[in-house]
Amino acid sequence: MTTHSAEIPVNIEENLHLRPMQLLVEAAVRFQCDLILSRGQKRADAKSILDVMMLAAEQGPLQLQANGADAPQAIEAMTALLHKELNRE
Amino acid sequence: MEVFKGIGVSRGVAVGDVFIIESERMPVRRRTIPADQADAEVERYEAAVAAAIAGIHEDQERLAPKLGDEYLAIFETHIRMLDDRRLCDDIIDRIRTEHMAAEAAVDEVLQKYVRLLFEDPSTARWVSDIYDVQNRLHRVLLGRSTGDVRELTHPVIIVAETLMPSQTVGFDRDNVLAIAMEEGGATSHTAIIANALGIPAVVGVRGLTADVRAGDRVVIDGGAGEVVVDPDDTTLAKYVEIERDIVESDRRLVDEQHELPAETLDGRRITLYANIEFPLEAHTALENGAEGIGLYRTEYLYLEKGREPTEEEHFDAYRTAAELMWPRPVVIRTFDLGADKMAGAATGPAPAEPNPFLGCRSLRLCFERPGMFRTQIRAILRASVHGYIKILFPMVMSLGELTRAHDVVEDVRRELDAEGIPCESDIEIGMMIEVPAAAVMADSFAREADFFSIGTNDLIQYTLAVDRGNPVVSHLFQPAHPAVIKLIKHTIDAGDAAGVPVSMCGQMSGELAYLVLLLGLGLRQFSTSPKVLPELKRAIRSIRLEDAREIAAEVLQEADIDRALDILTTRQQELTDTG
Repeated sequence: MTTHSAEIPVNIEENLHLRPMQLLVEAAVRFQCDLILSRGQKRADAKSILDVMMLAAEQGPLQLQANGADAPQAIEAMTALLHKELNRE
Repeated sequence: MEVFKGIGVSRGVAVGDVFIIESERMPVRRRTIPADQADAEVERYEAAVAAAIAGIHEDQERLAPKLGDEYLAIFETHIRMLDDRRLCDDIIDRIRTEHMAAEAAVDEVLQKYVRLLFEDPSTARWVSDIYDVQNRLHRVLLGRSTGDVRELTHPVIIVAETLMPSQTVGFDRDNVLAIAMEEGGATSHTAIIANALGIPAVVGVRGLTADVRAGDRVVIDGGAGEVVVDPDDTTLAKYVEIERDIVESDRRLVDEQHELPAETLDGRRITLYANIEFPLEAHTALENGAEGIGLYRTEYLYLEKGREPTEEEHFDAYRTAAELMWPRPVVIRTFDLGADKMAGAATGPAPAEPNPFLGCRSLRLCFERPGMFRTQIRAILRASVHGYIKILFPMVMSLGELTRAHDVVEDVRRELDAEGIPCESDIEIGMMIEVPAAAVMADSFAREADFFSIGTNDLIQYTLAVDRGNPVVSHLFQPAHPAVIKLIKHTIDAGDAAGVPVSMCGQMSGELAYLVLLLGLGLRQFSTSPKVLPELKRAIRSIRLEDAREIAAEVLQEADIDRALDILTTRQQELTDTG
C-alpha cells in the first residue's frame, strides 16, 4: 500500500475557522483510508474535528497524507475542497 | 443522608426533588461503576450521544427562523464534535479500563481538550463550544436542565452553581419550592428575589452541585441555612414540623401586630414601608402592615421580560401598585440596571466593563440610554394620577446628575402637558444615598432632593470597597463598620436639618441586630422586605428611644468595628434582660 500526500498552501495571515474544518472532516470520514493532516509541529487525524482544531495553533501550509485503498481519490477530493474553502478570499 | 451548610437568605422549609440548573463548568462527581457494568455504561454513553445530537437537530429546527445560517452552522460543528471518533474512543476507553461513569469520563476527556485549546489564543476561542457539547451530554446523562424554568411542569427544588437575576425572576412560585445555590451571599440578588417571591433559599452552599443529581430528594431550610440531601424519615418529620411552626408563628405575628402602630415604648411613631419588585407584592405589603412602598425596584420589569418594557407595560405595573397602595405612597426607583443586573436584550449587549460596579450602571446607564429613561419617566408620570407616586433616582453622586435627572422629568412633563395627558404637577423626587460621595455631601443634596433613601448594600460596598458577592472577602462586608455608621448618621442629620425625610431601604434596615442603633441614630423610616415588617414592628414596640440614643452615642465613639459590635450586642442584651 502506498502513501499519497499533498501540500495545501494556507494563507498564513488567516486563522483556521471552524466551518472549513468541519467540511473537511465531513469529507474525510467518507473515505476508508487513513487521512493525516499536519501543520508545523502538529499532526491531526483528518477524521476528527477536535484533532483538526488543534492545527489552528500552528502556522503555514497544511500537509495531507493518505494511506489506504482509496487514498488517491481522497487526496484529490480533499485538496479540491481545501483549496476552495481556505483560499476563498 | 448528607447535610450541607450555607447562608439562609429566605425563610421557610421545603421538601422536594432536585432540578439542576446548569451553568458552564459545573463540577461532576467522579463516580465509578462496577467492572461488569462497563458494557451497559458504554451503551448509556452512546445513547446519550445520540440523544444530544437529536437535541441539536431539534434546536436547529426551532431556531432556524430566528437565526441566520452562520449561526446554524455552529450546530453542525457541534454534531461533528459529539460524533468525533477520537473523542468517543477516548471516553469509551475510560469507561472500560478505568470504570468511570459515563458523565465522569465525558467530563475528564473534554476537560483535557479544554486545556489543550487554552494553550494557544487561536484555539482558546473554541473552549465555549467544548462546554456547549459537554453540557449537552451532561444534560442527558445527569438529567440537568437547560436552565429554562418555564419548562417546569411540577414543583421542584432548584439547585444551581449560580443564578442570574434574569433567571430567578422567571421562577414561578407554584413550581419552585426552594432554591439552593453554591455562590452568593446574604445580599445577593437571588436572595432579594427569593424573599420577594416567598421562596425558601439557601446560598453559599459549597460543593452541593457536585453531590446531588437531578431527582434527588432534598430538604431546604431557608432559616437555618441547611440543605439535607436524601433525608431519612426522622429528619423529614422534623422539618415538616419546623415548617408548620414557621407558618403558624408567622401568621400569629401578622395578626397580632397588624392593628398596632409602629411606636417605640416612649411613644415615638416610626414609619414602616415595604420594598417590592413586582406590583402585586403590594398585597403582601399591606397584609404585613406596610404604610407605603419605600422602594419599588423597577429593574425586575426589565429582567423579567428580557427586553425593554413598553411604556404601557411600565404604566400598567406602576398604576397597579399605586392603586393597590392608595392613599399610601409608592416610591418608584428608576431602573437600577448594570453591574450584576444586566437585562440582556433590555439594555442592549452588555458592554464588557472591566469593573462593572464602578462602571456604567444605574443612573449613569439612564443617561446613556435617554430613550429608555424617558419611556420609564413618562409611564411613572402618567401613573402618578392614579395614586400617590414619588420618584427615586439611584446612584446619584453629584448635584449635576440630580439636576440632569430633574430636567428629564420636567421635560417629559411638558411633553405630556402638550399632548394633553394628565400627570401630577409636583411629584416628589428623591435620591438614593448609596455612593459615599452623596452621603458626605448630604447637606448640599438636601437642598435639592425632596427625600433621601439610604441604600445600605451599595453604601457599604463602596465605602469599604468590598464585593458582597465574593465569598473570599464577603466577611469584610460589615454594616456596623464605624465609617458606614458615620455616613448614615451624617445623612440623617443633614436630612433632619433641612426637613428632608430620610428612609433606609437596604438589607440593613430589616435586620433586627441594627434596629436599636438605627433608631438611636435618628432613623424614623424603614423600608424592608414585607415579610420582615411584623417582626420589625414588634421589636420597635419594645424599644425606648432614649435607650437607643444612648447606645448609638456609645457606638459612635468607637473607632474599632469589633468593639462597636460588642457594645451593640451587650447593650441590646441588657435591654432585653431588663425589659
